[in-house]
Amino acid sequence: MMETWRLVDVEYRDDPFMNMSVEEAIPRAVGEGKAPNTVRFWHNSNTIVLGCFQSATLEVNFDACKETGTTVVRRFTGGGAVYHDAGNLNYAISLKRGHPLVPDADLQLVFKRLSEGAVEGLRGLGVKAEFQPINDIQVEGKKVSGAAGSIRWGTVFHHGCILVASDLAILGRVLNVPQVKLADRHVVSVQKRVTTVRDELGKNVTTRDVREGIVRGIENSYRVRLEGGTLTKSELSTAKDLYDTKYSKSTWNLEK
Amino acid sequence: MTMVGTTLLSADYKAPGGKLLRVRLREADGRIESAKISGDFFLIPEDSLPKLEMMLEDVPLREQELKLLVDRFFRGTSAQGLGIAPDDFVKAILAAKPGETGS
Repeated sequence: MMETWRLVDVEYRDDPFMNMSVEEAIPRAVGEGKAPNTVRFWHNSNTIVLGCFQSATLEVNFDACKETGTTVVRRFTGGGAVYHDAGNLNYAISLKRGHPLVPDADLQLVFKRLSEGAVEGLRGLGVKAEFQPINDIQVEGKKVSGAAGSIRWGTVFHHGCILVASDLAILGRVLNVPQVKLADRHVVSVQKRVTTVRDELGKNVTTRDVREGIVRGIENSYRVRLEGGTLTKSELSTAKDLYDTKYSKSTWNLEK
Repeated sequence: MTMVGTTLLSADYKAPGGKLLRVRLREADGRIESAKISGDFFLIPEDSLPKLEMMLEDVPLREQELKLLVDRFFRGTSAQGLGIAPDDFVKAILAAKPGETGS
């Protein structure tokens, strides 16, 4: 029988702190057996999402954030800072640890396997997407999606953000990209090494179109059925606690 | 506040084909007083990084000692890095040493 995963579209577009709280509440519930394997789609308004090991002081251009109304939050996974706006589609996959798709506790395998659904979804829309190790999806050398993840709380967790129609000019302003990183990639700016689905397709595609594409991509790649659902009371309560004690706090978001 | 004899050192080190390690150290008399490591790498469990930073306190800023310490950290915590190898931590920390250049 085909496996069924829960599909949730729980989002707080104007509250990136609550979005981050839900992002952690779901894998915690999945690992505890209180929720089924889950795919979540969501959006943020103008927000920088820092990796958990990054220094806000070093990575963020706070003046540009002020000018553009950009909020800074930190996620619980590693990797690099990303800029989210309404043109950016976020997805997250939480699978109970030991799931046959990712049988080993190997983070590179997590990124490879759990990017396949998004890659397939983007290809279905006509984007020549390819997984590029360590954690990117690229189109002809340009990044269209980054991913991060962890193996924690009894869960294999993978999340990614897809640049559908994001404002790349703001992206280039709010993040300080260290010279050592640009030099290594032989390119001069953030804008020149990223692209959007809209630019690749040359038409007015929306995050809703891309979400539908990725739902199909996930169902086909992993031979599962995604069934619409909601968060449990326990997940919402965990998310509220995480909001109060962690994600709404500058000690978590900025002090590293 | 910087104490007398304490020097602030820093390095940004890009692991070959991998991620960025940004090291900020307080050093006195050739020993690390405190270390802050940040960057866009992956390390699980995530809460193991503060442990490494703590282990680095009062360690001589020398390759041999750092190698032993980083090895001990990875063995002791079973931490898994991605985009960085254990030796990259050593190289990044040494790159902060005056006269050394990060890559």
